[in-house]
Order: sequence, then C-alpha cells, then structure tokens
Amino acid sequence: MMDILWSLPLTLLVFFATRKLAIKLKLPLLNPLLMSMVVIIPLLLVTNIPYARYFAGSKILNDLLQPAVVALAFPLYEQLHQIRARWKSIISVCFIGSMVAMTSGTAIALWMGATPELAASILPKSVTTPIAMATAQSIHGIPAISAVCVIFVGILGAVFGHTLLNILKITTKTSRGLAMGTASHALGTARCAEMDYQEGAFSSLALVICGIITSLIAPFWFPILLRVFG
Amino acid sequence: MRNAITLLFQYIRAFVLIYLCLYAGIGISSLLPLTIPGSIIGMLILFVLLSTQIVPQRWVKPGCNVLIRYMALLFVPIGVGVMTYYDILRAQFGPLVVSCLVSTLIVLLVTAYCSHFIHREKPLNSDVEEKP
Repeated sequence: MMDILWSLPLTLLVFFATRKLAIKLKLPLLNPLLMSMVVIIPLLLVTNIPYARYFAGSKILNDLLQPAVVALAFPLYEQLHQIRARWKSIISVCFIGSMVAMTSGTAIALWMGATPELAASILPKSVTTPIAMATAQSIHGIPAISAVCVIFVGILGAVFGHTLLNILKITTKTSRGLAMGTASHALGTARCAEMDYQEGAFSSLALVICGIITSLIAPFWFPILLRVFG
Repeated sequence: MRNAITLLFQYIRAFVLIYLCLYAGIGISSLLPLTIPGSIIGMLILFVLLSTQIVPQRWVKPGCNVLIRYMALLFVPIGVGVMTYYDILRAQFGPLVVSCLVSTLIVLLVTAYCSHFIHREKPLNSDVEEKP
C-alpha cells in the first residue's frame, strides 16, 4: 500500500522530465514512454524491487486507460461533420489496414517459426491495449505478450511514423492520421494529437474503427491464417 | 477562490460523466457475446450523447482533453511490465521483433497510400489549405 509513495512520483518525474527534454531537443527518439521504460526497468532490477510492487504503486495510471479510451469520443465528435461526409471511405481504409495488420504480423511470425500461441499474441498488436488483450484472450494468445507487442508497435509508430509519412510525401491530415491510428493505435494517436489536433482526431477515428474490426474479425481470421501459414 | 472552485467542479463533472459512460459500456459488453471491450462501447455511448446534444460538449471537454493529452503516461506501468516476460521474449525474440517491425511498416505504407488514393479526389477544406 505504501508503494504509491515512491512508485507514482518516480513514474511522473521520469515521464515529464523526458517529455520536457524531448520537446526541448526536438528528438523524436526520446519518446517519453520509451525513455520511462529505459530508466525505470534497470532501476527496479538494480534495487531488486519486484515489478508487482512498482505496478501496485502506479496502478492508478493504468486504471485511467479505460476512461482515456472513452475520452477519445470527444475529438471524434469535434470531427463529426468531416466524418459524416465520407464515412464509407474511412471505414474502407480502416478495414484494409486492419486486415493487413493482422495478416502480415501473424504470417511473418509463423513463417519465422513462432508458436501458434505467440502468433495469436502478435495478431492484435496494432490495436489499443485493452482491445488487444481481450482479442488475444479470445484466440488463445497470451494477453501480456500482446501488451508488449502493442507497446513496441506504438513506440515504433510514434517515433518513426511521421518521418516515414514525410518520406512517402503523405501530407494530408486525413491520410496521416488514419495511417498512424491504424498502425500504432493510441500511442500513434497521442503523437498525432501533439502535432496537430485534426490529425489526432482522424487517428483516434482509425484507432476506434480498427479496434472494433479487429476484435470482431480475429476469432474467425486467426484459424485461417494458422492453416495457411502455420 | 471562486474560479478555482468552478474549475474543480468542471473537472469533477467531466470525469463523472466519462466514468458513467465507461461503466455503462462495461455493463453492456458483459451482456454481449462478443469480445468488444467495455471502454470502446463507453466511448460510442459518449459519442452518441455528444452528437445528439444530450450532453453539451463543454461538460466533458476539460476531462477529455487532460486524458488525451497525457495518454502516453498511462502506458508506462504496463510498459515497464515487459521486464517480467524476459524469458519468453528472449526465447522468441526474433519472430516477435521482426513481425512487429515489418508489419507496422507495411500497415503504415498501405494505409497511408490507400487513404491518399481514395481521398485525393475530394480533399477536405483543411487539406486544401496545406497545398501551395
């Protein structure tokens, strides 16, 4: 119970210090989440404090993830007039993106010799953590490994996503937001929202639609992938 | 002083509304035979309430903005949890890292070009402004 006294301040301190540093130095590689992990994990290992105690102290932050997903309704609402005009094309893009995300991740993992259990954990990697963990469970994956993949993919998108989109010469806020939300869920969305409010709105739109599509299709799609590539 | 109280009240009102949507969503999801998480249904509920003007947007705005702005912070506790899966991660490190890396690249590429191709014919007002 006393763990909140050191764990929560530590998390907040490390996160906001790296965030401030990243903004000041304009280095996307100094992603606040990645840096927090890089600082806190060795700290816990050196001091021999079990992860369970750290998590118990910072659990309040984890509990806020669910209301944060609910809060994404707000930017969606603000973009309502834009969405209404072309919801068909937005859903089509998200559908294609989700199918590519599920198929490519699982196929490559199976091809490289991953166990079916691990492949099932990798499948929902491009959707936000709560959905990914629920989906992994429904296709007999390991929810915790999915969470790891989700974080990894999210950091990849948040750190390199915009650079890649610039190289590809994708300049419209719609395409940038949809691509980031589809590939890198909430972390991509958080990064987009930092850069531009409207891009963030499209990203959260993709995050939501892809989350729903993935959770609905995965239970039928995974057995097919397993048969074809396994 | 009065301002501080008003501000506090606005945040409390926003968070109460967000949590009400969340718990309604969790309740509904437990009744559905599908694996849609309660938070997603909660978000759809809040979205419907906002777009039908049942809940004025200023009631939830302060809470939503704060949660969205610091969303990356909320992933730190689970992120640090990577350390507990050291063994399985080491055993299957290659497939895991390569598939996540390559797949993310493919998804970004495909989605961005797909959207670019589909939406190019009817650009948004905001998109037009960006072009020289």
